[in-house]
Amino acid sequence: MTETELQARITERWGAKAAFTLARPRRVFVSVAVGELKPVMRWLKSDLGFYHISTITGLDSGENFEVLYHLHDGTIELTLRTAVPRANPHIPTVTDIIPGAILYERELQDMFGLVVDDIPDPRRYVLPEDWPQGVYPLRKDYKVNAGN
Amino acid sequence: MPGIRIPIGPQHPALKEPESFTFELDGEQVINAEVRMGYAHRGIEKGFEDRTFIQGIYLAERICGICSTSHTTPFVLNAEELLKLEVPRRAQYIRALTGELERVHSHLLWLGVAGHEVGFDSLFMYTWRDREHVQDMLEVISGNRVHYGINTIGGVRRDISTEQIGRLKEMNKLALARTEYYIRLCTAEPTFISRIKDVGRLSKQDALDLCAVGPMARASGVKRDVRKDDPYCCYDEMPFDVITADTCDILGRAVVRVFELIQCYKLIDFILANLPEGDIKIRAPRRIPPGEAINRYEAPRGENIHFMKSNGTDKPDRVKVRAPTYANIPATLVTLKNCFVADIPIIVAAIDPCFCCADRMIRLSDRKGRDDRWSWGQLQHYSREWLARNRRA
Repeated sequence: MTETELQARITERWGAKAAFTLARPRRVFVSVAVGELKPVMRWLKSDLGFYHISTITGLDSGENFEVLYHLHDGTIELTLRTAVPRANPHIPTVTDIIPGAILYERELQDMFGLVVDDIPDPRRYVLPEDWPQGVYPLRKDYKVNAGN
Repeated sequence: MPGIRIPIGPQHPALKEPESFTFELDGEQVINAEVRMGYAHRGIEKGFEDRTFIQGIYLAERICGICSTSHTTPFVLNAEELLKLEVPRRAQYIRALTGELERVHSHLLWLGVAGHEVGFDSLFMYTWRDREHVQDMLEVISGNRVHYGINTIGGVRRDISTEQIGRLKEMNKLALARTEYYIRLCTAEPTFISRIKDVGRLSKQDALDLCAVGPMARASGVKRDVRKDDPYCCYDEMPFDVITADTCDILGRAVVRVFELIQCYKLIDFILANLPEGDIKIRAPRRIPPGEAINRYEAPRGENIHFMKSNGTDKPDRVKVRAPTYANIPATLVTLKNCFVADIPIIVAAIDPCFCCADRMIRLSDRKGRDDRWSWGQLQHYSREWLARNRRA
């Protein structure tokens, strides 16, 4: 499928709920509200063949956290992005759609303090056991001690 | 000394951590496996945010010693994309050459580690001897055996002379001849094959659902290779085949890697014969305008992905790195289910993990109250003894 065909299919199915951007060949960004995240991802997998999740990036954008799901169908890299408010940083798990997302969701919880609802395994993954609770290293307000 | 020290990668267990794997057993069989690994123990993603883009290249290179170009290349490709730079083709070819040589030395390293895990130490000695030859080739190009420092934003830092091209062509022929011996080994040597055939099975559906990458996925019939699917560094101009196997076991993973080596030599020959004329780099501004870029790279272990967000300053706002071994962990846990304890070393080694082998601890427990802690060396020793008594047909 070409990027133009992809845009047509997404717009036809989701309309204004999914904002499509073509950054360059094979790089597509689709923005959705968090409530549409799972329906859109499920449809992308079942209808368009976006079966693989490469990773999930968290971004600390101040008032919000942005969460970017990097999917591909083998050729096109489609980043599905959503945002959640800092005051209520809940996102739903996508492991029921793509089981391979589990470690990336655990990493988001550790590093940003996002809460992944219904995550099958909520244990710490990246941070050591004795890391203090409530301290999230990749948030912008966490400063590394000047050592470099 | 048991085990082999492999240079550090992002998914390292913290070396002092006592429990990396926990296996639940029923007699000799593994019923369940869990793994505990750390990734950002060096806080590299955070470290990128405090460093300029040029300093970031040095940091990216040190994510891994075996596959350092696999990290610097997508990092600089992201920066170049955000700067909208047209990088000279000669530079892209030199990047591809370094990447292929890196793949060769990494796969030879893996073959040696796999040999060691199944008790075939001669294979380990031979492959690592041949790997030295490939390290010499990398030294011709970059001056270094690891951490080549070849990439910069806008191109590469060193050119290749006609004399060096001549030497590399000769060295490539020798590397190919030696690899042909390993092909015969992987496809015909019965004792080696019996250790890895039907061991560590991963079905194609599991490989897809669990997002496995690289030779781990290709050995289960998933025909995905970033160089073909999402080409970078002029790979769309270069002739090579994507190697897959359909046996879904460790034999498949070995066969895929060994035949990929042949494709590497083919690519190296092509690059040396067709190196475009021109500059090796283009000047790059220090500050990068705001934007986001994603680049994927086929590292020796599989798909590597870098995401970069710039904000108009000389430092990135965010860099996200997901190296391939991390992606293969959920699939590895599936391959460990229902295996014998004695097969654990080779199954774990078969994903070609990028962390230090020798310092892992294993915890074995069962419902009858057993709760042992073994070092990797103890596990390897147990594995060889058990398999000698229970030799497979």
